[in-house]
Amino acid sequence: MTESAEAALLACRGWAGERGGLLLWGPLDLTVMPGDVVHVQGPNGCGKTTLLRTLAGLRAPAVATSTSLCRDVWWIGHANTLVEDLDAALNLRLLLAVAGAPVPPRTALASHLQAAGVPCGRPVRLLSAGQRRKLTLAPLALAPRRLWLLDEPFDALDADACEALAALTAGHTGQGGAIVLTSHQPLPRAFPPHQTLQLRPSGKREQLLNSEQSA
Amino acid sequence: MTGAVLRAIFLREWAQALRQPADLAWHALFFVVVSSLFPLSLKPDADTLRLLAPGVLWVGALLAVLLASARMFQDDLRSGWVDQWVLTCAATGLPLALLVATRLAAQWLLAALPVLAVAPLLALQFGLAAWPLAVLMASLALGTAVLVLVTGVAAALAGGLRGAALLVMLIVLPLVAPVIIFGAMAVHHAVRGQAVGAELALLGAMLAVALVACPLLAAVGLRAAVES
Repeated sequence: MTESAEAALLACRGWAGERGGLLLWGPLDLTVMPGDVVHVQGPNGCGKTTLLRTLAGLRAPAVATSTSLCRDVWWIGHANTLVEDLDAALNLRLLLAVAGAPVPPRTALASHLQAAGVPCGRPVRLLSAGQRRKLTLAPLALAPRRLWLLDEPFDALDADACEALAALTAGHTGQGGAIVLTSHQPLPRAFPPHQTLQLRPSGKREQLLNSEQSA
Repeated sequence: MTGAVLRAIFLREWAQALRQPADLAWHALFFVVVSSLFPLSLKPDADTLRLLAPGVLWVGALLAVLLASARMFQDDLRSGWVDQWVLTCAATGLPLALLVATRLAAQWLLAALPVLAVAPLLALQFGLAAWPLAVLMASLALGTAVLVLVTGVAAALAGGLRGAALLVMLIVLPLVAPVIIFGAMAVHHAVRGQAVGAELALLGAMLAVALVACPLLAAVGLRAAVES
C-alpha cells in the first residue's frame, strides 16, 4: 500500500472541488500511476478545469482526506499563455524559461516549430487559433516532465496535429510519464489506452459548501 | 535557472513594450499634456508658474505612472502567465515575491522612465533652475518607484476582479498621499533654496519599506487571484 502510494504520481483521497462557494464534484479518489492516461469527462461547468488546476497545485481542494501531488508537471491551460505582439519563437522561449525548463538553442526551437507548422518569425497575433495551440503545447515535446495536465489540448487543432499529439503522448507514457486531460472530442485512435473519469454535477449545486460539509 | 526565470519575466514585459512603443509614449504624452495645460489656464507670469511647478509636475507624473500601471497583472492572470510563476515556485522553492519583484522592476522602468525623460523639458516650461530640477528628478525617481510598488499590491489584490483598474486607483491614491506631499515639498524647498535632505531621505525610507513589503504582499494577492 505504501509502496504503491510512493510510486504514484498523483494520489488524492476524498477530494471535493468548489468554485464560487458551490460544490462541483466529490468526494473523489484518484490515483495516477506512471504510464496512466486519465481522460476527465463531464458536461460544461461541471468542474473539469477546477479539477486540473487543483491537481496542478494551483488551488487547494475544498475538502481532502489526503493529497499527494507531483511537482514535475506541465500545466497547459485552456487559455494560450502567449504575447500577441511577440514572435512565436520568443514566446516559446519565454514559456520554457519561466517554467524553469532548459531552453534549447534558437535553431532547434525554429526547426521544431517549422516541423509543427508554426511560422516561428511571425507575431502571435497573425497566427491561427490552431497554430497558437500548437505553440502553447510545444513545451511538452521540448522539455520532458513526468506529469502532463492538459485542459482541452485538442481545441482548434487539425487532424494531423491531433495525431501528432497522440503520438507524442504515446511516447510520453511509454517512458513512464502520465497524463490527465480534459477533452470534449473523442481522443484520437493513436492515443495510448486510457481510463475515463466521469465528473457529474453533484446535483446539490444550489447548496452552499458549508452545508454540504456538515451533511 | 533562477536567473533564467527572472529574465523571462523581465524580457516578456520589455520586449512587449518595445514592440508597442506607442503605449510607452502615450503615458509620457499624458504627462506633457496635463502639465502644459496648467500654465495655459492660469496667470502666465514667472512667479506664479514657479510656485505651481512642483505640485503640477508631481501630480502629472504620478497620474501618468498610475494610469500606466493600474492594469498590471490583469493580462498576466488571464493568460495563465502567473499560473506558471506559481508552479515554478512550487517546483523549485523560489519565493513568488522574487518573481513579483522582477515584474515590478520591469514595470517601473517601462512606466516611469518615459515620464522621467520628459520631466526636464516640462520643468523648463515652468522656469525651474538646475538645482530644483535635479531635486525634482531625484524625488520623482524615488516617488514613482514607491507608486509602482504600491500599485503592484493593489493590482494583485484586485487582479481577479472586473473593473480592477478603477479599484486600483481608489486603493492607491490615499496610500501615495505621503509620497506626493514630501516629493512636492522637496521641490518647493529647492526652489526657495532651502535644504531638501529630509524630504528626500523620507522618500528613500518609504521606498525601502515598500521594496521589502510590497513584493511580499503582492505575491499573497496573486496567489489568492490564482486560486479563485
